[in-house]
Amino acid sequence: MRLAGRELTVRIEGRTLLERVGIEAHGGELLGLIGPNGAGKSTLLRVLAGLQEAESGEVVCDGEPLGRLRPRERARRIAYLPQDGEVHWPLQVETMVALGRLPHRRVWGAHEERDRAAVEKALVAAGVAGLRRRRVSTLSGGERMRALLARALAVEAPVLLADEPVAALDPYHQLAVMELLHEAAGRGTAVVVVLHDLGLAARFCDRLVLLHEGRLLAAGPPEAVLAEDKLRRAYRVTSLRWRHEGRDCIVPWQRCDGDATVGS
Amino acid sequence: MLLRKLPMAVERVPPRLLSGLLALAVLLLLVGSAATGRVTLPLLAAMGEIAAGQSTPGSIILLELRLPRALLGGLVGASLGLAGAAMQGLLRNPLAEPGVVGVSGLAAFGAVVAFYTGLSARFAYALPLGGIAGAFAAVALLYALAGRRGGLLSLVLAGMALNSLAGALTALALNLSPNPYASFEIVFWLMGSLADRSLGMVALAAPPMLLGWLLLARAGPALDALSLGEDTARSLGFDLGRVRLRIIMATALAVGAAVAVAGVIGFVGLVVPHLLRPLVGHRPGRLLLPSALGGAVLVLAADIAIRLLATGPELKLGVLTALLGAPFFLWLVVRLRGEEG
Repeated sequence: MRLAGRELTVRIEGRTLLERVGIEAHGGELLGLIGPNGAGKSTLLRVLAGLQEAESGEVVCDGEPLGRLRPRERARRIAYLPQDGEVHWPLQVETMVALGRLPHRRVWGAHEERDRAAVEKALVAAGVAGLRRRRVSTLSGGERMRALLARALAVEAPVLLADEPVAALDPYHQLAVMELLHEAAGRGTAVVVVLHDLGLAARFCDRLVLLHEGRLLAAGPPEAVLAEDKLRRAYRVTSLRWRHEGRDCIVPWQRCDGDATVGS
Repeated sequence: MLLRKLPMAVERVPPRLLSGLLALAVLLLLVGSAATGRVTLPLLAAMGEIAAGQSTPGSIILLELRLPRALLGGLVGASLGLAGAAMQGLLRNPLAEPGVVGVSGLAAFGAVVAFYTGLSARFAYALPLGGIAGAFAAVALLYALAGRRGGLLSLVLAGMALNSLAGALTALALNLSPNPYASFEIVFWLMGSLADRSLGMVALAAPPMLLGWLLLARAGPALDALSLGEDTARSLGFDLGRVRLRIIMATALAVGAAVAVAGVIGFVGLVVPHLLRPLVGHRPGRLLLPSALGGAVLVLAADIAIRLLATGPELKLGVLTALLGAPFFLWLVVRLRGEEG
């Protein structure tokens, strides 16, 4: 499975949100989408999910332009987890997760066995099988995010797009969710995740795409994309970095504007 | 809070059992409604006379008074219950009810216009069409004002504005009416009642209602998906533009036709889906059929009750549902506010 965006440009009310951005996600790979606030990460993810039209450029899913797929077919190929993760009724976790099977529904309700198996697998994979009877509204932030992720996993789509799934979580649950996404990639899914935490991006992602003011600033392996000069330019921060267990560790340390470090 | 404490087993009522029981209740109440009235009617004998083509007092009462009243009770109740459940699913808001948010009010205004302009006298379908046009305008406006985010407050405020608008427009029509007796009649009609309707009225209202039901019959999965928000619903393969249009049209057809023949019968679409929601695991899609049946049960039962209550002039059905529904609505608002805060 390969999801590719080419030369994507999005303008809304005269503002350019994305300008000629290219991106490629492959099956079996965890791709991190990083960049400062307003860089266009969520917009790019929505374009890849087919939720936002690009003014120019196209998204191609396994050789087929996304715009030419019927909504249901697109839904079977691409699972999308939005940033806010609203759940409007006091649904039980299992019921909510089962909504991920909607793209596979048949008029006469066939495939029920397969649906049940997919929901069960997703509940177990996300570690929320024990919470299946709980109402989503009573879950903690971390439990809730894992349940929402289980909903996206239940689609069993070859592509999974997740918008800031760890933003509001404590470190334990951040690691748990990142491990989950990593495992999903390990099972062959193409996972694209929007991240704010550079440490998690360095630790878990196979490749990173760095956006800055709607443009692609860098793409490639984490150690290349998270280079000091690129972070200075995109985020206006300096960072501490070291190696641990063969991976880069990175902690943003100080604000800087241009070459002058702020506050020192 | 109370509903949260109910045992989880309550959530697992098999959908077919629930709908079966409600359908049975509808049938019994239809018979009960036909049997209830000022004179005691031997139902079987009267039916036999109708079948034999005899014109006896019993057969006339059954055919021209009781039967239309019972049928309309079922049709109107089902339409209101279904419309309430559908609007709540679309707007993701348990307070969205045709009467509360002004849809019935504008439908009533549409019907009043059809009546006053004399259109309905020349062309019988003008009455339901007027109601449907008013309801459509209301649901579309409501969606534009409060649909996107599904906030509680914006919906209630938008509904308040629509209700005031409908009230003002209807008052204007009554105010300008050259014939005070006709306005008097309209005021009574607005209170909502199933009394003294003919089979012709049933034939007028049934087709648009059934069309509305049909449009909603396959909206369940989309409503389920919408409980996760619009973006997720689209990512699950739903064309939201079409879903919205379908539900808005269906609601307008059902509510507009119901109001055109029965006046404003409020709160049915609020109370019924709310009571049934826990029994279907809170899934908005699964709520549609039970709400339609439950709406029929409630309206038929209430309409039987006002005939059994020996008040001087018969209590209007809309007055009874409002008396029971308004406190329920208040209670729900207080509870939801507690959950939001």
